[in-house]
Amino acid sequence: MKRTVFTVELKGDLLHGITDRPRGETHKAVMFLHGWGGHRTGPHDMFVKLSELTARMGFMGVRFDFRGRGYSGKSGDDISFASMMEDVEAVMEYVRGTLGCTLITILGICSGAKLGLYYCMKGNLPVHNLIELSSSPLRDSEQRQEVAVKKMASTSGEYARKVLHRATWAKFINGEINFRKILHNVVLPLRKIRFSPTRSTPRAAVRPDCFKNFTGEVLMIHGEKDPETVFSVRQIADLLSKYRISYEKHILAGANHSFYSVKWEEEIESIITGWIVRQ
Amino acid sequence: MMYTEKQAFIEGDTPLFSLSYLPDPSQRKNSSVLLLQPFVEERKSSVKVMRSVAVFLAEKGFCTLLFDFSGCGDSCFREKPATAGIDIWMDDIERAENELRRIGGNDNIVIIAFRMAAFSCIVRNLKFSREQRLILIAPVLDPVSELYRTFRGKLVKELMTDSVSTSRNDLMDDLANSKTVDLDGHSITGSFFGSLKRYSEDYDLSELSFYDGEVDMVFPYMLESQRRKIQSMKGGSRTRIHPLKMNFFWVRGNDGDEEILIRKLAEIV
Repeated sequence: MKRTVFTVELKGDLLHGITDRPRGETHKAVMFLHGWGGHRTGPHDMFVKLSELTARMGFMGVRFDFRGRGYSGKSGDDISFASMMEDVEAVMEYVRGTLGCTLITILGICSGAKLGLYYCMKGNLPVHNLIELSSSPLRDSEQRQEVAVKKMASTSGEYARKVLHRATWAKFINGEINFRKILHNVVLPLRKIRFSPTRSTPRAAVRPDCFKNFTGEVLMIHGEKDPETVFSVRQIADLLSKYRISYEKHILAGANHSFYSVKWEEEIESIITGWIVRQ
Repeated sequence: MMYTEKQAFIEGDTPLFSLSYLPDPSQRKNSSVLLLQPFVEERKSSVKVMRSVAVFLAEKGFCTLLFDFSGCGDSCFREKPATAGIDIWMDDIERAENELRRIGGNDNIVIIAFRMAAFSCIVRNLKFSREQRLILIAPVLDPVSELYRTFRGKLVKELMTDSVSTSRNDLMDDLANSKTVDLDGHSITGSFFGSLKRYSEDYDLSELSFYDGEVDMVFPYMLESQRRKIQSMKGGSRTRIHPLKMNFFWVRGNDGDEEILIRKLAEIV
């Protein structure tokens, strides 16, 4: 395996990336998409390790920073889902054109996973398979109340635990606790509950232009303790079923959103390698 | 000012990922800057800040290089696992310095080191008697205590997933007994901990007068009590201490506040 750098120019900005090249020629690649606030190495450098692992299995590992994130600069407007879609398209072109890989698997985490799914639905270039880790829910509004309750419970629990810390009492005595901020953090999700009545979105008809460039299957991996898991998994499974796309689903016991443990990371590696071999 | 931005790997047993910013040769200053990144998840949270600092320095005319230490970020390899420790990181600093000398074309190198990298850098300069201009950002001067503090965050996260495995003291004991500890998905080895402990004992940095060279230390703070504590610190005759009110950008989820840091660096550099 050899690790090299690449740079793609897009609208005057530079997208910086890394490839892990397997021994010998290959036409298969795994392209990694990091999350909204992330970086191409992924949480706890998980993408670096996964990229190397897939390179050993004969895939070109391709990791890059979206413009405005990590080492890739961005001039002008702020980053958005649309600019990230442009970035994916530009790197896809590079992977196909310059690296010569035509069989591309997208592997994304969090917003990167959601973006990967959208690219499989709407993108201009063919994608073979999709591996989505902890994708955000596809329709946030639909389950907003339930998510809000979970988030509020989680935030309140965190503050309750902080009461036990000595440093918290020191801050209290010095008048340095920002009660307004705490109230804001706890109450904000409640406001969402009050003002957003539950609405079920009518099931849209199957659109022939969706997933027209997607040829393979989807692997879903989520953490049991991630408050978004239940909604994301349900929505993605519904969408894939609607378009008759095969998927495999794994919920990691006890795992959180970004799989912050060596044990969970190893489980993910094992699931992914097993799934790739079966493809 | 125009500059060229380029990624590369510094060749060696473990290739080191580097990103250089080279101003136009006619506009270059006569010193270059080496940026040393923080450790594990702090590195990931700081990447955007590091890039902003590098761009700022390049625009000021400094050839600037940042890189990933062995075993971290894009310098992490399974085939050549870095038994990451202070000795290896000191070698990494040396390799990166040589690379910066080569591409920047000048020998005068200022180091700006963040968090744990500051510890490696100070120890290296003390061990090899280097009197080099240093700028230390939120330096970790007592890495063993810092690791102990970091474990609190790990255990709180475990609490959120209902699976607290142990206590902080047990984790420290495990490391002392050469066991590996899982810190947010990173394996912290006993040998790494051993190197931290050994160098902490050999070089006591609790007195800030440890260094004979010119050094600026920037200590971010968020609370008034922290500012008072920083202001009471005393360094050597060539040490300047700068309290700076800003978010702790190396903590996941905090906003960068890089403009505040860059304004301060503009004063210092």
